[in-house]
Amino acid sequence: MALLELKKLNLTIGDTPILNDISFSINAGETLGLVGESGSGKSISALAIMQLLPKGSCTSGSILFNGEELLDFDEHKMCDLRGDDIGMVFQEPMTALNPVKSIGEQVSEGIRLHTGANRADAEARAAKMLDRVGLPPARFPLNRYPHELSGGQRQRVVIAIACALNPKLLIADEPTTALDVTLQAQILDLLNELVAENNMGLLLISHDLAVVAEMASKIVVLRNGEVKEAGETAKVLKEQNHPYTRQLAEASTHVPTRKTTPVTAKVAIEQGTKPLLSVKYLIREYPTPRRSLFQKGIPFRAVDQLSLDLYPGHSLGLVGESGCGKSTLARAILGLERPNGGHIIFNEIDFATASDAEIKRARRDIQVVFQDPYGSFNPRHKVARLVAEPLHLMDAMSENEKRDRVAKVLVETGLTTSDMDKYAHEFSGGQRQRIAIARALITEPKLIIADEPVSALDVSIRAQVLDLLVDLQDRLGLAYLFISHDLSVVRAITDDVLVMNQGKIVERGPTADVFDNPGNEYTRKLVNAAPDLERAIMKRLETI
Amino acid sequence: MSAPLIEQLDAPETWRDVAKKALHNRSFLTGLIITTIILALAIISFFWTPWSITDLDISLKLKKPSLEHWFGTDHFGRDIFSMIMVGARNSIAVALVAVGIGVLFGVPIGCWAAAKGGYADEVLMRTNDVIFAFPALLSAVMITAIFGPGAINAILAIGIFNIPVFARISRGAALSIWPREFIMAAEVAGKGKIRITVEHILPNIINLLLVQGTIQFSLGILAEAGLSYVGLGTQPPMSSWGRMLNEAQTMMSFAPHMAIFPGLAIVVTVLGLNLLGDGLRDVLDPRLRRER
Amino acid sequence: MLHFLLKKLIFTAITLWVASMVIFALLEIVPGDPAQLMLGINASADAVAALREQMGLDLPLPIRYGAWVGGLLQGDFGVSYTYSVPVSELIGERLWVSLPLALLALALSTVIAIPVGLYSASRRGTRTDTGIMAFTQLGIAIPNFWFALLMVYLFAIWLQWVPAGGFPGWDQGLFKGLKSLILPAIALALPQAAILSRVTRSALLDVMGEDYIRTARAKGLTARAVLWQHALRNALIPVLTILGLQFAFLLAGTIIIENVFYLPGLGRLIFQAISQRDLIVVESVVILLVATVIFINLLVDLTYALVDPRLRQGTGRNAS
Repeated sequence: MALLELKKLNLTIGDTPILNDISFSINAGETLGLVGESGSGKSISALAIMQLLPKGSCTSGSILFNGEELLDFDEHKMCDLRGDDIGMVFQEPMTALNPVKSIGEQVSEGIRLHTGANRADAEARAAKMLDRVGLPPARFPLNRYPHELSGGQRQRVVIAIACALNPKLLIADEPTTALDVTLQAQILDLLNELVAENNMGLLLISHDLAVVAEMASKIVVLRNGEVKEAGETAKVLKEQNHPYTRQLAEASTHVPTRKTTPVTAKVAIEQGTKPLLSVKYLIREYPTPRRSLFQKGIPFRAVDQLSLDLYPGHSLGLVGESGCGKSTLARAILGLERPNGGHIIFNEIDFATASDAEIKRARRDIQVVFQDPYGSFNPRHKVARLVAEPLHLMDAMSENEKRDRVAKVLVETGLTTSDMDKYAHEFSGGQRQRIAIARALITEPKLIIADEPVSALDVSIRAQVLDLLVDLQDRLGLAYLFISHDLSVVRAITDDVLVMNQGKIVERGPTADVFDNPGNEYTRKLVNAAPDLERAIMKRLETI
Repeated sequence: MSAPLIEQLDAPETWRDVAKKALHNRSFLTGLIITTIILALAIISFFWTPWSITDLDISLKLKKPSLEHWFGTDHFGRDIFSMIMVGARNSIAVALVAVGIGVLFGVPIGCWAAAKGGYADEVLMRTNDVIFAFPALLSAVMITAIFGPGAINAILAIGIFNIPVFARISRGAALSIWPREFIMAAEVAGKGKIRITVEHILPNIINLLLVQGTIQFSLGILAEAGLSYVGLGTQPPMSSWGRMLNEAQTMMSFAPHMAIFPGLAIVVTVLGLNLLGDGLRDVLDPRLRRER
Repeated sequence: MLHFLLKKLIFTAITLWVASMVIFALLEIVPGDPAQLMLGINASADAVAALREQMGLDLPLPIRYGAWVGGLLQGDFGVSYTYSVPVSELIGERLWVSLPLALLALALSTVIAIPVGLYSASRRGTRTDTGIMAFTQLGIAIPNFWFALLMVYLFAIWLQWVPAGGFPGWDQGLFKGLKSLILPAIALALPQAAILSRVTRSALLDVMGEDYIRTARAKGLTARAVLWQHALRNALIPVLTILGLQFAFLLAGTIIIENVFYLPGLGRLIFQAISQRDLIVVESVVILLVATVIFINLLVDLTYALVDPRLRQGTGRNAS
């Protein structure tokens, strides 16, 4: 008998159908990966199993847990089940813990509730559990509060809460999406170990095929609330019988084709090309709070004596984990932060010494595309005005001229001129990112700084946006500084790569060389931790 | 309090959407109707009242409510309904001008503090704390002690208290918008802080200010009533609802209607404005709407 | 924690200092000579000049400010122009009416509002909730002094359960004193309770939408247990803020309410002082009330730190 079995589960919220005939099953000791893009209904399936659905939800079908029908359980019986037999781990570790309760309280709370243990016993057990997830009480006492822990550590606490009573089933909803790759690898390892130790069933929900391929023996592909394909992970992902599975897999490993020859630093130097952008010994420090009333904080160096060169038509990647200083570097180049030392030289103009007029002229040639397709537009302005904003840097031009320019870049990015009079919210995430690119193109720049431009997008849309970026580079001869934490994206689109750690560049070189033969300890760690779809499938096929 | 404000920005709104939602919002509609009626009564009173309030006829004094005098008459024989109509002008004018003072000074101060940050922000907010330490009534007492009682002084006292209210709310809202990427995009486009505030910050906090404005308006009416009631606000021969209650107090035992109706006028107006404010928030702010 | 405490104390001291300067400066620009006022219009110029010197009115401003503040710190508020008794005595007497009244009202409002807010939040969307919220909406709209007038009419004039006003003094016994304070306290408390219960409810509902509430539910806690054990403490911050603000309102409110019930409190004192232009009394009462408000704000800030461990370390420490 399967540990968990969903049979023809249907779910509607209000009048909107969310899930349609979902069926799958998980055995004890087995990991099932539930993949799908946003809106596919994967998270809501998890909440349906937990019976923690939003108001107005209506379910039909069957959810059997250990042979018992959960849909027939009343709230009281569900409460006994939750946290005891079924544990759950959520995506966002920064908000998943109660900020005013210590981690000890939060882990022992469930233990006391379900076992009736007294405070001391429950805390002893909580301490053991925290130790098991990698937070030894010697270094992380029970009276620590969540804000004193990092994101990865908080996620360990959440896992400790979920696994404190050795549940039979663990549901993990995008447990590593908010984490850096090295942390992701650690957390996934931890989950694997816990599954093996306690013979748990694990329902792993993810948008990332590579993560699922590494973790799960069975896979269910969801789209628009329907199961598109299900089966053995290796088989499903190797054969790609269903067109949607194939589409997903291809998009995840998509490499856009370049029509022009790539520019690498090596070639540029050999040909004697002058760099378009040259950053020399750049320093950017942030003040930290006073350590005491009489002692100033030691300034934190986000960017530490960093140098880089970028050539016309060059596509340069910058990878590193969160907090390594890559966004600060981007902001400094964009003139949003004043460096504490060093030089930024663009087109032979040194921003530290140039006149305001010269800087303004130079800024036209550097534009930016941000990560968040929802936050990067003023919701009260229409597309025409949004896209025209950087024209502020140009000499005054008539409204007609502006509209012509906007129309031109909209067409260039695959939108239509009729989109000009709409608001940003009327577009999908992918289209919004096209608008952001159009805005960057309007001053006809030479360099675009792309700060995680595809990280917030679903894989199929990500592939389209990457194609667009490469196409624009071919046609317009743009240079990119492409910042990302995602190695596969950087590998797909850049010629050279810089690996950044703690404000410094630790390795640089042609992208393929660096990723295939990392010469630096940190780079190697990063490359090994990054999930890789093909590698994972190969490994899975070997073990069968 | 700043973080959740961010969400209200993503309201997929056009004016037509907003109007449509407003027409389906019971709280907004009720508030709008009440407020409109009160405003209309105040305006009509400039041209016409059921009875003249300047002709004193002692023979008609302290009449109980009747068909002729709906709300009865006062100790000078004046029609209370007519008095309430005329009194509305003062009550509304004082509250409105006080809100105006708050918006005019508070919003620029708050936006400036948010744009500037650092020490300027700190000093400004501390100054606000000092003003906050003086409840409106207390500053009214001081101002009255210095310049003597009167409607203008009441406006000043309430208005001064409104400044930190609007400064705080616009600062908080502006601070939640500054880190957003579209502001960075505007900075990359070479726009200065003032220009960004006008083009990007203000349009996105205006909803919040509108809601706060209605709330402060209703608080202003309550404050004016309180001040006039203790004799620090509107002075005779001018009339306001608070002033009428002041006169009614000594006649409570034999003419309670003199106190009941002006008080009801205040309650209805404030209720109307609060409903309007709540309704506006529901209509303009999708975050709060979700909770209903 | 110590750093946080020290910072708050310094800010409080600065606020107090600035407030005292504002009050002093405002009353300094008042037209008219207090000495002349005390002696009457017919007094001789010599007598006035002598009194001016005796009161220190001829000294330069900064020195007089210093003397005033120095006196305040030792509890010496100066001498009333009209009664010729120390102001501290006048205030001391009246404080025993106003302070118990404000505290009683605050306690009453809190005791009513927080359970009502909790109850309403736990039954969100039901008819009970809607009914309670409609009722509080009405409560907010009612001016407290009008409500007081109606209560006087109902309980004192019509039913004759309580005296219509006045205060017998605490020496007549605790019960008699409290009895004459109960109506004013209710009048002050109910409108405030309406506001507070709405704030409590909406703060709770905000918190109930947070991720960690879902985590707690996934642990197996019932919806009600989550409300009590996780939501309530997090919702306390906005509730505390309003509570702090309310105390200022209640203090100011007592000034008006005392008028309705003819209570011999600070409110009556300040109105008499205004009509007699006894500015030193006005000044003293105002600084006392302002200082109380500032002190309460400090208290609220410190309570935040008790509720929320994040605030104990002062400002956030992550720079990215």
